[in-house]
Amino acid sequence: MSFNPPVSIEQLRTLDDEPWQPVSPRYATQLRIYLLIYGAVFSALPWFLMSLEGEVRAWTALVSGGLGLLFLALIVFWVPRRVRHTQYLLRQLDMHMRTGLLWRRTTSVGINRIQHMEVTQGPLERGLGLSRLVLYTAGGMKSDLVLPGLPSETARRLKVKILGSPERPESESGIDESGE
Amino acid sequence: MSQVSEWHRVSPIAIVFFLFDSLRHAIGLWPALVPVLAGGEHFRALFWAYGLPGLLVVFVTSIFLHYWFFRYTVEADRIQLHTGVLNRKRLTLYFERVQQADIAEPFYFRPFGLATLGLESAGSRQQEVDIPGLRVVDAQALKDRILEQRRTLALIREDSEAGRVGPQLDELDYELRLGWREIARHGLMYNGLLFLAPVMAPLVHNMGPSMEEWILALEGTAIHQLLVNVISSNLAWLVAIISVFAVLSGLFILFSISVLIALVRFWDYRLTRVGDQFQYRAGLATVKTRGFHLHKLQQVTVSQGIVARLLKRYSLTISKAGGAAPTADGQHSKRFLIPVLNHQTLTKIKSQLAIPDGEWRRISAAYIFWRGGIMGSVVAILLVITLLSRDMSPLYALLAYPLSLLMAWRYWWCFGIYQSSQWLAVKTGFIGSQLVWLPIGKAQKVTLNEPPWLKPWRLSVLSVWGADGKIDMPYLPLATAEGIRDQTLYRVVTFGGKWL
Repeated sequence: MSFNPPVSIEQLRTLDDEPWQPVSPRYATQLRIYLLIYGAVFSALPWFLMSLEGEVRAWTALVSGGLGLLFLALIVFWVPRRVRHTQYLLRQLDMHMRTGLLWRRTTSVGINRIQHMEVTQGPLERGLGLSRLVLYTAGGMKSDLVLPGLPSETARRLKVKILGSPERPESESGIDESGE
Repeated sequence: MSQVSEWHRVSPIAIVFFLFDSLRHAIGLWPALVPVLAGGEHFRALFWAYGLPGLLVVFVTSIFLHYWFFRYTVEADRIQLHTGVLNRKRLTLYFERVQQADIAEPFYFRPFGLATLGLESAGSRQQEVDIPGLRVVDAQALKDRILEQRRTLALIREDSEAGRVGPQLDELDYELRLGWREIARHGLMYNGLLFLAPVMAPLVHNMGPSMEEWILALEGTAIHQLLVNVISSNLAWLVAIISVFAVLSGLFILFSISVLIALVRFWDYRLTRVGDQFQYRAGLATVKTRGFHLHKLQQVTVSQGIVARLLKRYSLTISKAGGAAPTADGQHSKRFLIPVLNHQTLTKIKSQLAIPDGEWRRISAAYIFWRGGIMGSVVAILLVITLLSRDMSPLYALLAYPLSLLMAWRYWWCFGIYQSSQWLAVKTGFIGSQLVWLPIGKAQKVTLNEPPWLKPWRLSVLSVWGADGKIDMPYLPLATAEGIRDQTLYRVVTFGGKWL
């Protein structure tokens, strides 16, 4: 029997069958707070602009109210679904993320293509104990994989696991720069 | 081997390089001159008396200091540089990470046998480094060493002494030379000056007054009477002819300049391949030698614009890692360009790069309805607004739909996708065409998008990012897209060997 049997594409499991991991439920809180802030600003904006002009008309109230309702609907209905359908999958050789149900988007990166990684958190994320894991590839800004809403400890463990993976390329020193 | 690195300064002639470099940066500071123009007489007098000489002194001193503080050392696997006057920088560039190496021989270096070695590296940040004022033979040796050329140092020195530059016939695996006629075609195909066209026509049209003067000068002669008769009886025709003449003259001038620029850039273009090492050498004022190693190839783009299609020519660009992102000083990186190819040479180059003549697959015809529908609706809305404002029937706006659908059909007809075990490719076009080839194993990121408006038809959009740009495959049946994605990932994770 061959010790190195060929692997055909059919033998690989399809992505849908794999055990996808959800992000933290606290991600919902993060999204809600963002939407509250944006919602407040955008709803107040038409009213604010009109009051600068000196007259606040009925349609301004309608627009402001409409925007406010829209953001409210997003907070109540969209956020839970979004969080439920944001998932990641780390396999031996590749990493995936998928978001959305109505608009499904699945992003995949080979472990051997990851140039470097960052675990970052903004002030809100820090307060909620969440972090973002960013995987950088060689393709420039748009070709990164950003995984939001992870518990900080999970994000760090994922980074360590991927860093230690034998698939990773050696140190990606291109040009090292230091000031003097 | 000694542990202590030897730091070298470049030739003093390199000061000319730093001069041009500083001038380039100084031109970017032109807004600082605005206060001078607006400041009034007294301020201007002060500026001329003290400001300008002061600036010149600072400028000249800074050029000299930049030269003085520029040092480099070459080690077994890397180059280190010390640069900068106030902002001291120590750069380490590993040979392995270098994507492309250029040797530029500008006119001010050539009498002295000097050159500038330009290196581009990739990694998490793309960076460019220029080492000016090296001896040509040293620059070539360094470049070949960095790009793992199999020619030995001795061979390079021998060639240089004999005045031969680049690999010689007996060791070539492939050579392509472009004569001036071909290069001139490139100038016609890619006219970067066409944005000036709206300016050119009025300029030429202003020749009108000088023509008038010329006619006035003939006053009193029989010719004058004849001309006046001819002009007054054919005024409308003459205006039309002069306008067309103005436009054509403007275009002629723009294209002539473009051809001249192409000739200066690509004079005596010579592309060679030795093993996996590609190199081209071209240029009139500055002779540029650009080389790269085949395994660094990240994307190949073959384009044919409208003019190129008329001339039956193509151009081909080989991209390496990091080309899509602008570098620190905002410049886009230099691509490896083969400016003009006919069908025969294109086939040969494709075989050099192992690009197959694939069977192109079509995307779903739903593209025609979506794209045609959206385009048509946008144009129809604009037409309705215009027609209503002119008291014409808005029903004419419906004409937008058949036209848009026709255009969308043409785009769909020209759109092709290709997938093999080695390559992914996308072909787009309307009149001309553009083909983008991505080595499948070098894909960086793959995204499968299922937007809600395509869901009823089980269609999706597959995007694949290479190290220098991405390709989009829209309107793919979901199963096909998933298949291509899985194949791509399979090739990526099983890709052995160097790719960057």
